[in-house]
Formats: sequence, C-alpha cells, structure tokens
Amino acid sequence: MKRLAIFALLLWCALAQASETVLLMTTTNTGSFNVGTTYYLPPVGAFHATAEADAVERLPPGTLQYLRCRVSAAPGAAKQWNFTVRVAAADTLLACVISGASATSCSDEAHTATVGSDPRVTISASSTASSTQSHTGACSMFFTRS
Amino acid sequence: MIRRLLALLLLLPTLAWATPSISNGAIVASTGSTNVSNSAATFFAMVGIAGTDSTLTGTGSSLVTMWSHSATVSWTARNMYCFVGTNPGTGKSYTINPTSNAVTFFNQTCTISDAATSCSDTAHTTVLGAGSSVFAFKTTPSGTPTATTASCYLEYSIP
Repeated sequence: MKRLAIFALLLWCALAQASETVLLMTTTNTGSFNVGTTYYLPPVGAFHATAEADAVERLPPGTLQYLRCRVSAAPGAAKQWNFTVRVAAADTLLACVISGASATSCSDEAHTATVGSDPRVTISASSTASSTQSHTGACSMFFTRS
Repeated sequence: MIRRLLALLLLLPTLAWATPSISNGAIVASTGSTNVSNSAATFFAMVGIAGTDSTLTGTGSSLVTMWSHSATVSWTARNMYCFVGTNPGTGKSYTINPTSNAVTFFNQTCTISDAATSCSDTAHTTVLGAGSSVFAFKTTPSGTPTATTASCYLEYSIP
C-alpha cells in the first residue's frame, strides 16, 4: 500500500510536468482587414496574409481552446467578422463571430481543436462584403501540449 | 505513513497554486512560405512569421529589428519542437537550434532526418539572463536536403 501511494505521488508529479498550457497571441500586421477578403493569421506574431501558406506555424501535438478575437471597428448591423481556427488546412469547431453594430470582440469557450500529425495551424478571418472595414484584428487562445 | 502520503498527494495541487508565480509561455516562429537554404545555414526570427537570412543579425535585411528582444528578467527555455514542411530526403537532414548573440547559448538542438518532418529536444533547458539580445532559430542542412519551410515551438518560463 505504501509503495502504491509513493507510485501515485511520483505519477502525479510526472503528469504535472508533462502538460504545459501557454497563451498564444496574434495580431494583424500593418494594413487593414479589407471586407470581403479572407485573411490568415498565425497563432503567434504580428502578421496576416491572404495566402494561408504564408501564415502557417506548426505546433506539437496538443489542444487549442478559449479563442478570443477582437477587431477595431464593429462590423455594422446585420454584418459580421468570422474567426476560425484552422488545423491541417481545415476549419475546426473552435471559432467565433463578431456581429452587429456595437460588438468588437467574440470568444469561443465551448469548443477545442486538436493538433495532431499535421501540425499546421492558422486562424482565418473573413467578413461579409458590406461589413465595416477593420483596421486591426487580434486573437488569443490557449494551447496545451499533450 | 500511508495516510500522510495520501494527504500530501491531495495537498500538492494547493501547494502548486501557492508557489510563487511562474509565467509560462511559448515562442512560436515560422518562415511562413519562405524556404530555408538547403546548402548553407539559415536564420529565422524567433517570434512570429518572418523571412530568412544568412546571418544572425540580419545584415542587409530589414529583419534585424524583428530579431531583437529585450528581457528585463532572466528566463528559462525548454521543450523545443521544430518542423519542416517537406522531409529532407534519405540520408539528408536539417539540424535546428535556437541561437543568440548573447554570451549565453542555448542547449537545445534537434535534427530532422530522412523521411521525418519534425524533431524535438525536451531533455535540455537553457537559462538566459536579462538584457537585450538578438535571438533566432538556426537551420543547418546536411547533404543538400529538399528545400522547405521551417517552424519551431519553444516553451519558456519566467520565475
């Protein structure tokens, strides 16, 4: 029994060291988010591009969660900005929408995205064509390495 | 004795919470869609997306300002994971390590070889002092590997 307790203690310590959760933050580079165009941001850095390959960063296996995004100007009534975390060049459920005349931020605390064997990660940002132009955009999310 | 150990086990999360704060973060860097050289050493910025350069300080490149980081406290780097977009090819490799113009050097290094597209070094840590330094990831090819993009993830903590 004593050995079992010691083993459990050591296992707890090992597991506590094995998992790391870090905050990833990204923002647009100089230049505006133009409406009607899809942009891609890396998980970390000050950069955005219209070609996803330009914005790709790779992460070790793990889980992304708690996405929060912000734009500098509200989209306008019945208009929106969509932010979606993409893994392996595919949309995930981790996403949020900034919509309406006054909101400038959104969050998704309900979904997660898993980074697996294809470690490419980006965040896509798109708008309805008539949305108010945003001069900056930024997102953050937590990443827990497996 | 057993009860004491079990009590300690239950208490550990509380102790961890009470430990003086340790800020953890991760450096994530990528060459984006730019290939690193497959015939000479290449440097790319340690944070975010940037191009590549053949020198650490980015001489002749506008990237130099993106490679300078000033730390007001010492920090510890650990758990490095690096990736390439295309595998090097049989008998070829890219060795990747963080580097700096500071006196302190990084202990981390790993090699992506053959058909692999990633490598890691979770065995070493590097303690870096406060101050302003130029940091970058360095790729060193061996055997003229396939030209490819590169990306790295490096965790850090600030005690």
